[in-house]
Amino acid sequence: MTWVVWRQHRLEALWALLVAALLAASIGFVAHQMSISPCPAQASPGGGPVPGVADCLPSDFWGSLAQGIVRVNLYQYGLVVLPALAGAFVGAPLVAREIETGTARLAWTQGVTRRRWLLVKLGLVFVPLLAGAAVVGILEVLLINVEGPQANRWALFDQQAPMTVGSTAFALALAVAAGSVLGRSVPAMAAALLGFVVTRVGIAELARPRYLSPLAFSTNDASAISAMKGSQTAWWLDQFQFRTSVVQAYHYQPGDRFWTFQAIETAILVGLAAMLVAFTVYWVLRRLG
Amino acid sequence: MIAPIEATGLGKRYGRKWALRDCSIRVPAGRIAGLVGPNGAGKTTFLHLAAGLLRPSAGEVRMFGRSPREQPKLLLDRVGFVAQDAPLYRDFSVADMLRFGRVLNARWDQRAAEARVRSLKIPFGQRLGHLSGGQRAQVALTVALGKRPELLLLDEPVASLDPLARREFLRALTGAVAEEGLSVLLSSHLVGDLERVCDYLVIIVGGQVQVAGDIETLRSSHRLLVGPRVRADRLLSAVDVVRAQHSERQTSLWIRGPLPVLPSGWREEPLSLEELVITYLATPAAGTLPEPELEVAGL
Amino acid sequence: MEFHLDTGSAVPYYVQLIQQVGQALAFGILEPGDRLPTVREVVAQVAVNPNTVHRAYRELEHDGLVVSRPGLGTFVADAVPAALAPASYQSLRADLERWIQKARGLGVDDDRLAALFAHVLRENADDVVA
Repeated sequence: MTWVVWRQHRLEALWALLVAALLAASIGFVAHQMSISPCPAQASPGGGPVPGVADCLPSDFWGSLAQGIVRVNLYQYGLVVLPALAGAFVGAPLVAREIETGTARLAWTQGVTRRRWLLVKLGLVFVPLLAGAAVVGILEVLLINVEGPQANRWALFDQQAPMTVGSTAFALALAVAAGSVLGRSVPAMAAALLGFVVTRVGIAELARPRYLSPLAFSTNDASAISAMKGSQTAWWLDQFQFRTSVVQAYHYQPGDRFWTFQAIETAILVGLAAMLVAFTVYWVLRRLG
Repeated sequence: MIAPIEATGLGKRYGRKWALRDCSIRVPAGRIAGLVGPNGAGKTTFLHLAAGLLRPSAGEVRMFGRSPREQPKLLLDRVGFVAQDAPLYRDFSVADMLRFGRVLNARWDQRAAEARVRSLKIPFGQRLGHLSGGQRAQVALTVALGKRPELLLLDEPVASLDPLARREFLRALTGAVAEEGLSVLLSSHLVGDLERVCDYLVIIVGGQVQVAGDIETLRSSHRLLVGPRVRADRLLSAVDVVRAQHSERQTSLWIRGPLPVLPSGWREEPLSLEELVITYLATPAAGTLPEPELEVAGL
Repeated sequence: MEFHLDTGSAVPYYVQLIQQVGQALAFGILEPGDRLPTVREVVAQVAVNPNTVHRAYRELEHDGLVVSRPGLGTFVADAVPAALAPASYQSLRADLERWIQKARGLGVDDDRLAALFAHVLRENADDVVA
């Protein structure tokens, strides 16, 4: 059965491997460039703005290349889009293509039970993709470490491990479920992408700020405000007004809560993924006939 | 001897519509059985139920005494199935397809499968998507036979093939039966092929089995009587009529049972299997009710 | 010997096979002691149900025309009664040719002639199974 899944999906596997390898190599490359000439942590004594990461890179060819990658926010966008694409292009056709071409009837009348067929397919697709997501996510964490205090972890919440793993798992599970129910690859891809975007945006906007009650920071001191705002370790939420005074106040999540929040949201996504997988197994085993 | 296929009150419903209903047949071992009926009659539904691809809504079907849904592993090794239009993995090569069969089936005869492919003169490296329809049907048959099944289920295996490809496929099928002694159930809406290759027939119309039995027995128990219309009534009451057709002067009666004493002017005409099948297809109630259906034939 | 099946004929296939064996004997294609093609060989030639071939061979054996030797095959019996003694053959053939000439003289075309013959043959046939 392992050989069958490999033979059916080997092209996708090689593409995924290529993309993951390229991504990992480029992250490593940029990290290396940054470590050559680290940026100063504070603003320059003259009071200018804190230099951005891209400004501190070496100015030779390689440094310019790294600059380009950073300026284009490759990882910021790429690592958010990739899980969705992986889910859609790998997950959606996994069951749907076999149903629409009729090969499911061929596979289900060989000497393997439908359950084994499905579980092996799911396992052999989930494990490598999640591993790839983990590797890339961990590298992104290391990259942010190298960037130093300029980097705000919170701004790259989705792009670090374990979130990359959680969102990839969710995207895959959603796509496979959509494919099993709709029985057609392309509609399943569309449904999966849509569902992924709606769910992830919904969670990020509505749930994420509230995993733990935000703290309040209030002061009338303008320079203290700008200094706090300059600090990159906190996640600044909304600005509000205490009813009892005219003092400016802000809700925020402190930096030391970052990994807790990562764990919570990853657990939510993995939980959703697990439910979707369970549903898919139920659907394929009992409903499709 | 346990029957390769035994259905008892088998039925399948989609929503409120019954695709198959009250199906009770028993196909004896060692036969090539034909399942014939118009499109949408329930042939595919029956085959899918037998292959374990569908769950019955009513009744049950057993292969060699076992239910495909309750004991799938046991049966998946013993029953081969080729779905309509012989689905295959189009980007696999022939060799890949054989490996697929070898890897997924416990009792696989790789050498026999390779010999069969060689005799078909298909290169092993050829992509399945580049084969003709007839060749794909043959490859699908090779994969189904490769696991040495005791029962083979084929859904309209030759429906979309040209006459030569049809003949070659049937040749391969009958050859395999002669060699291995397996039982076969194949569906078709072409009676000519069935007559050549089948010795047991199941006629199914509107989701219900009209008639099932040895082809020889069916032939010898059905007759076509033709005679003058004016004297038809006397005969009508004495025979079990499947179908009656009247023209101005003449009446034709398709009957079931022994030859009665014929009144003058009446004679028996030869009745081909195809005619017999058409008779049942034209009068769906014939299998379940004894009333004749009267039809006035225009000219 | 090679078998052929006439799919349009009303004659059952196993009867056609029996008839062809009879013809082969009558015309000397098969002689006493010859081995008939195996069931597999016939099926490979003619794409017919193996049981049909089995039945034909069984009937031939029942009629004493062939003998089945397990493991070796089916052979033409040694003491085959001449399906058609040359004299009978000539006599029947001559009668038939006269009849055909007579019919043509009356203006009956070949199709109607064949239908008439088939009809009368059926009416007079006792032991050809339908």
